[in-house]
Amino acid sequence: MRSESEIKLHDEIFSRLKSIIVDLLRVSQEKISVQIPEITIETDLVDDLGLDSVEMLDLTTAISAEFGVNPDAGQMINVRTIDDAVKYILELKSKS
Amino acid sequence: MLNSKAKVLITGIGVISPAGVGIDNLLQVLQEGKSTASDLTDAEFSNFPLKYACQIGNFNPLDYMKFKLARHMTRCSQLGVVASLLAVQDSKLNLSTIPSDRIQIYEGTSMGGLNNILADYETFLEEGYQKMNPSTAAQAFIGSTTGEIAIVLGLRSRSITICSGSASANDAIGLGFEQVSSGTIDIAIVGGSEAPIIPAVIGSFCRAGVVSTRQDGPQMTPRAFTGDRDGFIVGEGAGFLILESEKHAKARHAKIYAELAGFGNGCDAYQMLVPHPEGEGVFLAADRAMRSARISEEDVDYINAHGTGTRLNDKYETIALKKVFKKNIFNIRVSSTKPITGHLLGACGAIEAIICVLSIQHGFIPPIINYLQTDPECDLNFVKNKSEDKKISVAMSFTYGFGGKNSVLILRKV
Repeated sequence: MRSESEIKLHDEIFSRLKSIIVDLLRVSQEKISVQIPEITIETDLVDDLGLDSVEMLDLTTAISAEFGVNPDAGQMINVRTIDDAVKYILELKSKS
Repeated sequence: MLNSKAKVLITGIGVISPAGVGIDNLLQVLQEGKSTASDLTDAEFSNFPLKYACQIGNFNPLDYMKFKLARHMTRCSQLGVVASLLAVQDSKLNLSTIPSDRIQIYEGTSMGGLNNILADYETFLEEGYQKMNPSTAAQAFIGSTTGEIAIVLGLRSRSITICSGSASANDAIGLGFEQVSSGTIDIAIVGGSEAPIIPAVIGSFCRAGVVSTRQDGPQMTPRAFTGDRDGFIVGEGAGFLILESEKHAKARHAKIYAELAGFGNGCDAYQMLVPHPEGEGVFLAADRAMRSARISEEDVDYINAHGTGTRLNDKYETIALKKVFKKNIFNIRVSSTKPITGHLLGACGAIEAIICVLSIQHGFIPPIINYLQTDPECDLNFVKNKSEDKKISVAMSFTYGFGGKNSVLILRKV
């Protein structure tokens, strides 16, 4: 059972991560007339959003800049969903 | 192409035009002689003398593919992929049963994903290369759509993009025709796609003086072959056809729209922007097409002319068609459908081939709309303003591209 502060931290990271991803998708689709789908905690970065390997690298860099953490590229391979990413960021923050 | 071996049949059609998605929408505007033009409302176009375009209203690529695919495609590719999917669905072909060396893909486009390249260049100027889209090179190069089509259809076959300016789609269709006709393959997925309603393209056309500057309403322009014509307006869209050998089509009891009977092309070897004033290249392209179809001038019922509405094209096209058909030209009904659909540039040949198929299938000729003033230099046997019922056995579609490229298709009732 998570505490209120843990839930609050989780939600904050989710919100900031969502902004990063929306920003990444917009950068990657100038002039394309498709609407970005709603991003939820279950959203799969590859199967739902189609992030390719270069974009995953961009995401890794953006996470590093936004949260002041050092994600490992090898570990990022295991990050498939937004939930995976939030948990990984929390793990990195707890170690820093 | 003088020695055709296999009859080439059209067994599937997919189209996204300014009239909307699908054949029925296109058929309606052709039969009703209704313009698909609308105002260019984006602020980027506000200073251009061209005020109108033929834009696709309701098209959401997410209705046909997942977000993860659509977001990596330019608009040109989205249109082309969806039109090819619709054509395959229409044909009821089971692609998994076709060996990959018996099927090929040819697509014509002249601008491809130019808009995405330009947008990424702006990003580079404003924010540096680190903020550029890592996918632009793969998404937006001129050949990207045929790659996307092969991926979506799961075809490890030849898949090639043809760029001949406004003759691109006819050339793409023609190359597919030659491959099926020669027995090299059984199926060709052929067509064109174009999404050129962008400032760079329209601005350039404005500067070249080839677009209409009329401001009395989108429905009033363009005007092809008329005394008051002043240029074309740009359209967007995609059209694909399934070409199939007669043997293959009949073996699976395929629906048959028409026969693609002939193809010919040839260059003017004259100038990049101005057609040959005596129609030399057009004559050769048409002659080659008619020899490949084994027809003569008397056999043709309908000509879908290139008819862009520029002063020079329409004048020189009239001269060229008279050279091709001699006195018989006055027995052949002629129209340009660009006043209805706009000029779809590299994709115009695909849309117009489909229009010829619909004309044959439904026994009518779509009109040149906005025909209000004659021009003695353009005195062909035009269908003006209202469509006309007519049984059509043979239709010819003419398209010409910058660089003096001329490409002609012949379609025949089966």
